[in-house]
Formats: sequence, structure tokens, C-alpha cells
Amino acid sequence: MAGHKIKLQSSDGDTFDVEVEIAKQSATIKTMLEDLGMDEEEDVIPLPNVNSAILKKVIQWATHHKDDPPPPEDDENREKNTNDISSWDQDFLKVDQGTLFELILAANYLDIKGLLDVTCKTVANMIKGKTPEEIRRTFNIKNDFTPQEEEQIKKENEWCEEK
Amino acid sequence: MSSIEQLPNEIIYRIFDNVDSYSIINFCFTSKRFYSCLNNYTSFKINFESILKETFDLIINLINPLNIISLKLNDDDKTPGIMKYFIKNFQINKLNRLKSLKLIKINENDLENILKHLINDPLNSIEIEYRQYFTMLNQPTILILYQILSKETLREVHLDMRSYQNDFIQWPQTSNIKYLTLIHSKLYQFVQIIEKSNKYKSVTLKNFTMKNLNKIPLKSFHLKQLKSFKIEDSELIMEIIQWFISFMSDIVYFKLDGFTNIIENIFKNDQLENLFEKKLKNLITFQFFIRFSSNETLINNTIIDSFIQQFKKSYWITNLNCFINCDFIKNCNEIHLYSLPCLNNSFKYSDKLNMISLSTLSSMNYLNQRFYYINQLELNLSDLDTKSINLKNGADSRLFPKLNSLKLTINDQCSLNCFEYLSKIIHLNNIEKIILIICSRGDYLNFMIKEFLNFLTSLSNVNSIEIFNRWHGIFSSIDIEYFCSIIPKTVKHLDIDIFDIDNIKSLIERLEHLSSFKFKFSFNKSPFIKNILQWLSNKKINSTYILDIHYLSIWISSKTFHQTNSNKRVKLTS
Repeated sequence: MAGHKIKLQSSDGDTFDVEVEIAKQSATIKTMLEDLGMDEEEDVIPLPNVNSAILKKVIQWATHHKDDPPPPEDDENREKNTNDISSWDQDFLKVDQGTLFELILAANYLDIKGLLDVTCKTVANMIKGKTPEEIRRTFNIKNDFTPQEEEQIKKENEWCEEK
Repeated sequence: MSSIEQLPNEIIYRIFDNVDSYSIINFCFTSKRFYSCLNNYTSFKINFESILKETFDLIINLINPLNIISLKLNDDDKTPGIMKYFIKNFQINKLNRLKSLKLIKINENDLENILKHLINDPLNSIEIEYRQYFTMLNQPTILILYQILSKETLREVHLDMRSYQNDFIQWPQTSNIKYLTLIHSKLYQFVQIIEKSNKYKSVTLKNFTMKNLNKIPLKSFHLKQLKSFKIEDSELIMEIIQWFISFMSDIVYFKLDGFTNIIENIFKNDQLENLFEKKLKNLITFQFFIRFSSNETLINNTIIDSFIQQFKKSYWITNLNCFINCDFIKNCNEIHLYSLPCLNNSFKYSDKLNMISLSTLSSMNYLNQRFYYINQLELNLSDLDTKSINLKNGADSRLFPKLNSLKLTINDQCSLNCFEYLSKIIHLNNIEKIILIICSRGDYLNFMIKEFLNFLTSLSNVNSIEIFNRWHGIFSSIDIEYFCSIIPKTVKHLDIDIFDIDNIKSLIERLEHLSSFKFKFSFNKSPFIKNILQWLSNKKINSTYILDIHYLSIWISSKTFHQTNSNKRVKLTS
């Protein structure tokens, strides 16, 4: 039914009215709805793993992509272009890293393939072509190798050298 | 606040799916936790094309063959000798999970040595192209290839057909292949393939020989599932195209890209429109690029006008949304007839170009539509009208913003300032490959080469230089040390003609940042090449090569130059 709405509740207790068709981009919600039955409009779907700020972003993304054609089937062996992030998605994902990773976790939990793909690609683009030290700086990763271990890896693999 | 370290491994691996292998390795070197991902990530897709030798060595040492699902090796001049080295140093027999395999510029022995280990792999995609071709494959190789092609898992095949030289080709009776690309195939071969039970969804014929040399009967076939049909880089023959169309009634996409010297046969009296309308009811997209040149027919405006008129019909414009352009290049009596946007991104430019262009698209702006997408450009520097060098201040009238590859010819008629002029008329910032053909023996060759080297420094992204100077050794007119000092640091590949074999040593030693060289020489020099190979071996230079009577292609690790002092080569000094 067009315009039919459901309520989604974030981890901080806020509820959001969302059109069923939009919410169903989440395979997790879709399964819940099908298990619950769709008649009871008053039902609230609790999403304890997603906070309000992130849920708002997820709904924004799903609303924009509600009319996307379903991903092509059986194209398992067609090469995917990893740079094909639409300009709308690029703008949408101009967020701080914390938000980006929370969006990934939410997309994973809610099982929204399109959002998970595009967020993972965004992180992938931040990794490509960088040295280990540059990657550490980009993501604030703590180097927990002991100097001996690091020396060992360096020796075996001769990495980190100036290209 | 989340950080990347809080993501579970399953998501880290999902991110890896979009990252090249070398960057994955670098990522895994950042911390202990991610280091463990290196052995647990099971979907490595490795593309060794144009890779640096040191990166290749790192990858084959670190990645477990069982974790590789996709592999591409290319024995071209950027990574010559990679196949043999890979066969010798990598446990190919442990590549048991390979789904996709691409072997480009391979020779028969190497092909057999790789494929024989992969017969039981769950391959769904295979691509094979030969480096050079002289004879048909031997029976054992044909048999292995046949076994691979018969695999139930196989969906995508991209095959160089030069290996099948006899009338009968070994092709499986039934197959699950959906995407088929045949390169250098002949009509009778294609017929043998489509005769067999098949599920082709998309067929591409590249460098296809349409001529029906064996006079086989053109009977009808039914390709039930075919949705897309492409002909690329082939000589087009109307009779055969009509025959194809007659049994491809369900296609939604049709592409014709090729050349002919009897273009009137293809677009004559609405023939194509009638055929399409009758046979191809589901057609949504028709794209074409046809180059017509003839020594016999003198092209005139009437011919061009007739093409334009045909494509103004509502079938093309309304039904197919197909707008066309027709370029008549008077200098060489050539027509380029193509749908928009243009499929062909290469162009021969000259300031003396005498060309008219007509379009069915009323808002057509030629410079924007055609020149904008050109990425390969060829030009003779003597064809530049350098007198018009005084362009208006501030006005950027440069052409070809997407230019990636530039091929230049210099001869004795070039003006001295042609390079300066060139950089004012074309965009240089995206050029990665530059080819220089020297057809000059004039007194000022020395000056022109210096101008060229100077020009190189203005190309900030160039990574490949090819110089063809077979008749005029450039190191007789220019100091080799000066030459090496000017080659930009971004350059990874040099292809050059050599007269004095010792120049090879000098170039390898001085151009430490290069990953690959191709040295071409006359065949009487080839006996001396063994000295070079001995020298490489004595110096313990980490390298592989391909040797032919006319050239030596070498792929060198830069690690050669940074190892312990005992390995470090003595630099030549002037």
C-alpha cells in the first residue's frame, strides 16, 4: 500500500515514521514485518543497535534510493567498478569517520546492501595507494607491533620503502 | 565514537573487496589485528598488470594461493617475463579456488603450464590473448583448453582464436557460457560455435573476419538468450551483418564498430532501417562507428547528405534515440559515420585538417561532442600551424581535456617552436603515455630532441615513453647522461631503439626509477645481447626479460638498487 507507514525506534528511544516501502530496503526490517504481519500500524519496530542520528541518516539514504532498480541478478562475474559512487552518495557520505563507521555498522545490522556497498567503497578509497604509515594516520590506528616484530616484517617484506 | 578498529572482520573483508591487493597488504601491516586479516581474507583479486616488480615479489611471497579468487597476468612490455617467473616461483597447483583468470600476451608453453593446474578450479571467467602468434596450438594444449571451456561453472569467456588454425575447432557440445568474446575469429569458427547448444546472453566479435572464405552456407540459427551483440574493430560486410540480424531477433543492444570500403552497401536506401524494424523488434540501443575510406570512390557532399537524411527518420530518432554524426575528412578521402556519443576515442589531428561534419543532432557542437572524449591523439608536428601561436591572453582554447596517450611525429618540416605551440593547443595534464616517432635526419635533430625532452617535463603524469628512432640514433646527437637526467620521475616504462648495445647498461643504471625497458635493435646486434643478460646476472639485478631477435624487454625491481652495498651497482660517472 503506497504511503503506508511504520514506526522505527532508535536506541535512544526516538521513533521515526517511515514509509513501508522505504523501510523495506532493510532486509532485517523486511523480515521483521513479514514475521509480525503488516496490519498493526501501531507496532513500533525497535532498533536497539542504531542511535537517532544514524537512523536519521539511514532513512535519508533509503528515501533517496527508494526508486532504485533492484541490483542486477546473476552478474556474478561482471566486473564491478569500485569508483562508481554516485555524486549524491559522495555528498551524503561527506561525514566524519565516526559517522561513516557507524553507518557501516547500521547498514550491516539492518542489512541494507546498497548502503553497505557504498560506505565500504568509501572506506576502500581512503585506503587505496597509501603506505602503512599513511593508513595509520588516516584512521588513527595504533601501531602495536613491538620494534622487533616490526623489524622482522620489514626485513621479510621490505615494505615501507620509498617507492 | 566509532573507529575502523571497531568494525568486525566480516566488514573489513567487505572493504577489502574494493581495494587492490597491494593496498590490502599495506593495510594489514598497520597493526597486529589487521595483520591477521592477511591470511584470513579469502577473496584476493590480484591484477598484476603494469605492476612494479618489487610489488609483485611482495604479493607472491605473502598471499596464500588458496585465498586468491581472481588473477590477471600480462606478459606485455610493462611486465615482460612475468609468466615464466610466476610459473617458476608460485605454487600454481595450490590455486584451487580461482574463479577468474586472465592471461594476456601469453605464449603456448606458459599457457599449458598454467592451465594444467587449474582444470579443477571453480572458474567462471577466463580470458586468453596471445603475445604473438605463428602456429596453431599443440594437441595437449588444445585438450586442456577444451577441458577448461567445458567447465560447468564457466560463464564468461574471452578468447583469442588465433590458436585454432584448422577447419575444426574443439568446442564443447554444451556450455553454460553467457558472455562470449572472440578475438581474431573467422566466420566459419563462429558458426561452429553457435551451432552447439548454448546460453549466450552477450556475444562480442573483435577483429572478426567476416569474409566467407570457406563459402559455408549461411543458414539460420536460434540464439535464444542473446541480448547483446557487438562487432568491434572488424571489416564490415553488409551481407554478413544482414545474416547476423536475421537470427538475433531478441537482442536489445547492437554495436557495430569497424571499417569498410563500400559504405554505400551498409547505409543504402534505408536498408538497415527496414531490416532493423522488421527483425530487431526489441532493440533499444544501436551504437556504431564506421570508418570508410576508399581509393576508388571519391567522396562528395551528396553521399554525406544521404547518410544524414536517412538518420533523420523517426525510426532512428524517436524509436532508438539514435543521433549520428558524419565527418568527412577531405585530406584523406575518409568518412567517419557514428552514433553519438562517439564510441571511438582516438583521433589524428592536424591544423591543416580539412573536414566537414554534419549531425542529426541540431545542437551539435563538434568540439564538445567529439574532441571532448578523445583520449588517444596522433599528430605530425609539421602539421601544426605555429604561426597562430599568439593566442589571446587568458583564453584557454586547449583541446582534448581527456587526452591520455599522445603520438607525435617529428620531421624536417617542423617549426622550431612546435612543442611550445603544442602545449598551448592541447591539454597535457592527463597524458600518461607519449610516443615519439623521429623521421628527421636534419641538422637540428639535436635541437628537436632537446625540445622534446623539455616538453616531457611539462607532462606531470606521464609514465610511459616510446621513442622510435630506428634510422637515427638519438644518442649520437644527444648525451645519454643528459637524456637520463631529464626523464621525469613519474616515468616507469621506456621503449627505445638502441644502436650501441652498451647504451642499454647506461640506461638501466641511470634510470633507476624505471620498472621496465624495451630496447629495440637491428638483428645483427642480437648476438651481443647475451653480454647484457650476463651483466644483469652478474650484477644480481632482480629482473625478468623477454628476448627476441629485434628486442629485449626487461622488467626490473627497484629493490635492485637499494639493497646491501655488495649488491649496489657502481654508478657510471661522466
